[in-house]
Amino acid sequence: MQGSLITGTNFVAVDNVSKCFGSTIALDNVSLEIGAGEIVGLIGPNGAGKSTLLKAMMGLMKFSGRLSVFGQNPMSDRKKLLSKMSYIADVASLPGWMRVEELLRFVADTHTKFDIARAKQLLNDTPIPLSAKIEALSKGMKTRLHLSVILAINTDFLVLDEPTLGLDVLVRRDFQDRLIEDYFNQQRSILITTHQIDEIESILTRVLFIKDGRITLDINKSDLKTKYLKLLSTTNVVFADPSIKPVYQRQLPNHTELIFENVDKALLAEYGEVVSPSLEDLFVATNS
Amino acid sequence: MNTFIALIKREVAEHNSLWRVPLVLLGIAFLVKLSFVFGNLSFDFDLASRLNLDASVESLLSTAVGKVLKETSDFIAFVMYVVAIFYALASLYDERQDQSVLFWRSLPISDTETILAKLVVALAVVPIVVVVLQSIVAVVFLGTQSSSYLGAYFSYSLGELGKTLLWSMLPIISWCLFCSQIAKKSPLMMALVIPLVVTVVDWLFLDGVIADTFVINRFTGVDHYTPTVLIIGLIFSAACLTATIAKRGERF
Repeated sequence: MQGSLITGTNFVAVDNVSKCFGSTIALDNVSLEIGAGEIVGLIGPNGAGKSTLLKAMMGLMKFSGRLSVFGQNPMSDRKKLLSKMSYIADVASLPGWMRVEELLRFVADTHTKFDIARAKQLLNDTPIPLSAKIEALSKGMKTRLHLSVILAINTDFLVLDEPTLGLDVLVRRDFQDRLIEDYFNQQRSILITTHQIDEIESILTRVLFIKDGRITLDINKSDLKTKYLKLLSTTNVVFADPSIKPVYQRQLPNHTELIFENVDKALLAEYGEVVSPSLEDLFVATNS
Repeated sequence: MNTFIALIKREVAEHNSLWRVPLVLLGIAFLVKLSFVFGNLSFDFDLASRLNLDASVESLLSTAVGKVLKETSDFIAFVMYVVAIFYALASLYDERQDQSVLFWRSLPISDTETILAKLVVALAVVPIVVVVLQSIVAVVFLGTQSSSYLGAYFSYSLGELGKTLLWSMLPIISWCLFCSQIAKKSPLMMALVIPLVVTVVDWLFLDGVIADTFVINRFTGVDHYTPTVLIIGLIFSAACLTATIAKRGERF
């Protein structure tokens, strides 16, 4: 990308951002943009650079390269930037000593875009009473409360860092449903980081894989199905055309899994069952 | 402005010793007063007549009651300074311990605002509480005559309070906030041990000037408050606060 950063339609513009810790390269010339109407999953194992990238985006760390969030420089305009977006750094971080009502009032006093009536309305659908002390709530309810507060902040960009870490499956599913129902629309975007790929696969519209500080895959979910195919074969697969090669191959007890990139589905169907690969499959395929 | 008031309210709500200790002190004062009225404590002289005879400043403060009340007022100030110090030691450490710092920092509030709010609580809210408490206690014991006593007491105590805040409390609180931000295990230990080591080393190997300016002078009272000590204290406080703000900014 040449020239100035695009700020009109993109919430986030990352341009050749690098970061070194001593001799370790945490981010290696990362470039990406996030626009409206996207649910982007930034997926990578621990130490891949996803939290480094997020830290750079939230103005918590110096870096080389250019980066803008809502047209703001995250390092120098952190407060301004946070006033334009919603951000959950950690779902287990609400202050336990506060009552729910005090929390709402505090956010209302400090975040101009917070709609306290909306927050109360969202909490109405939960068993959380306004008078409850936060430390008395279960982990799932704390998450629900945090999400209700964040969803009542009327911004167009929501950043969630490992939002479902340590939550059981029911709470996790509920969390995702709330995101889609109460927040997401064509004008808004969500960026989620996670190392648990299968957890959020279903809600994403776009997938970013990150490994060793590099973006290894950046693809829209809708393109995934046509671009990547998984072949489950019980026989030895030999193609007449030698240019057709799987990007990844895995031997299982009863069959072989092969993942192909840009190969005609009909061609593969002769050798066995052809399905869409899961994100986990793709992650392994693109990162090994 | 909304943000700053919300931050102050948050501090007072979170650190309940800031209002519980004053309430306890008031409760004790009321108990003693009740004992004078209904119980076993009694004045062995007629207070009202003493006050009416000669209401000049020295005489008011030198009456037996005046003396006791002055001691009580000084004690209230001392207790509240201790409360302020423990508050400062806890405030940044606690939010790191319970991870709530991640939540606070996810809102559009700068670290400078947060640290300044904490400083204002320790150095403005607490002194206001001190003056209000001293006034209420005086009213409880002296009733209508309390105004002349308070006039006499505050005419010298407010100046001392201001000096104590500038010369002693500002550097102490700034130092405590810094320790609270960076101590791994115990901010209290850090806040005590480092000045202690500095003092001992200075006494044993140097001429004692460093220990005197940075540590000893802060505790020896108004008589030793010189402008140089004040300026060094201000620079030291600014350095502590700047470092605290920077360190909090490194937290994710």
